[in-house]
Amino acid sequence: MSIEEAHVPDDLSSLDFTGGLRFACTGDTATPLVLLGNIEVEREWARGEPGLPAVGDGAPSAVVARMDELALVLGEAGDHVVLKSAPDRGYLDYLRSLGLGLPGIELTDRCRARVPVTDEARESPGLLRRLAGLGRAGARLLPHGVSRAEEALAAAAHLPVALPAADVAKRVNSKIYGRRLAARLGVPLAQGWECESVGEFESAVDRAAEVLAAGGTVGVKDAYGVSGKGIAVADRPRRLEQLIRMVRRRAERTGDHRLAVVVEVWADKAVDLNYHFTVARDGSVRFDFVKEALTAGGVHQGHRYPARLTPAHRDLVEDTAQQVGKSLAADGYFGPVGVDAIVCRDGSLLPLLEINARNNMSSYQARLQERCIPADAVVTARQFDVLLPGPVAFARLAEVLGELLYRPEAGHGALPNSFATVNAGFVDASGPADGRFYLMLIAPGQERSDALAAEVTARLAEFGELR
Amino acid sequence: MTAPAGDLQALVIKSLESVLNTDLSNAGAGTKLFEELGLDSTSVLELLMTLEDDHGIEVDPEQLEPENLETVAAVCAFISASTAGD
Repeated sequence: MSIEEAHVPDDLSSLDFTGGLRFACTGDTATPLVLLGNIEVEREWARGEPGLPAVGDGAPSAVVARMDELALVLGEAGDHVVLKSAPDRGYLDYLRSLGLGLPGIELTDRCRARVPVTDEARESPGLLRRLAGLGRAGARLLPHGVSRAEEALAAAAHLPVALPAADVAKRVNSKIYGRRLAARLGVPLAQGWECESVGEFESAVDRAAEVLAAGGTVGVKDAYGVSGKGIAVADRPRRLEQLIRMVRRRAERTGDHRLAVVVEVWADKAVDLNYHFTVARDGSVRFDFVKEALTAGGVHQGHRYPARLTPAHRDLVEDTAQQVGKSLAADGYFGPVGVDAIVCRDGSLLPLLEINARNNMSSYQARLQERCIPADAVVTARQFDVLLPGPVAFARLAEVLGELLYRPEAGHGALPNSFATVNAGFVDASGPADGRFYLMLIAPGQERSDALAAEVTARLAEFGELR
Repeated sequence: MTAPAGDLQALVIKSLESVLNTDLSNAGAGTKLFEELGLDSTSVLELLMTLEDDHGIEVDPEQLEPENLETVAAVCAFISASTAGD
């Protein structure tokens, strides 16, 4: 990538995934990116927003704090990635063996177990100096999503952010914004109510009670809930009464009667979907892909690709992506966007459940998919949580997977799309710790995919107890 | 409500089973709620509501500190302390 090659494409769709993202966010296909995998950005957006009563300290787990390494496979040679610690050398060699150009690696000065990468970077004078040099050379910071914390990092490093202002990004990530946008666009929407005060919540609960009386279920979701969290499900009136009581009690104690939740009638879901598109600074929108989302208890577990959709549903998804993308652009947003949708058991499609105007887990699979994986393969990207007695080197994982480790020439197998989360728990502990394997399971068909998943699961059990 | 320590632990584990929809017959006083059982802020809220529904144990979530949720024993200790005067 050189300055001479810099150009503005006729069509965003003519670029590969990262190239399109680069152009969309910087307006130039030659701008070097400094990638930051601040997966915890939603916690920052949620700060100060009164949602459901919450307990816990809100800090990410050691595993989540090491999801920063997902960004490694998004960058090209010539880009950079900020990481909390150096990747396993065997893992880097493996990625290179796939034919991937990799970004330069910029390490934070320290790596503390539960400290988000943005915070670690902000407290790293050595790193900040290096980032300033990259900024002077024309690079731009492309975080997973932008909050005030990343803006502060960018200011400290004199490295401009390649995304819109944090306040814009936060606003369009609110579930209240998403529901109102869907209503404005006339997109099919689950029955529900947006609540910005305790009083509005009380009114919504009155109406939701009628749904419960008719045998339905409702969900109360934080407008700024962290993925899969900040949700309370009510299948009987008593649950809503309990929530109202908790919310009222807090409002009386603090004098703050604001609230940021949505109350939604639970749709009878058959399949979760996640689709991805990219909004450019010039307002153009590129539809990237749609995948089936695998969830357990509302928490993201992975993706399956290709999504098994009817042509009509695919058209509706792509049409909604264009409409939502143009609306986001009109509201000042540009960058990557993932949208959650569902196919209901009656065959209908609700194409806009939640807007995630940031990178999504699927964003980090896109370049691998383009470069290394046969276009007609069935790909299931999954996480495997294991209680590990001690650290695991990538070489050991490769040994245990054996012939199942993905090789492009074979075209099938398990491709680790991140590795730092495996040993995240051993940063400040020597005893057994939780580790997470991220694997893309690649097979020529669903049957082979299921067999591969079973065999990989059995082999990973050699490392410890699977969660 | 005051329950003997062993009974209270059984009630808490039963409520956790209901919230997490899983068999916790191997869980005990030292079982870690977040690390081992995968509890999160959402399921904590459900746990509190289930304790109230099924066993009449009422706890204000805003009074809970993270350390009160570390283990089954910590939850039991918190409930015992907060309901001691009932």
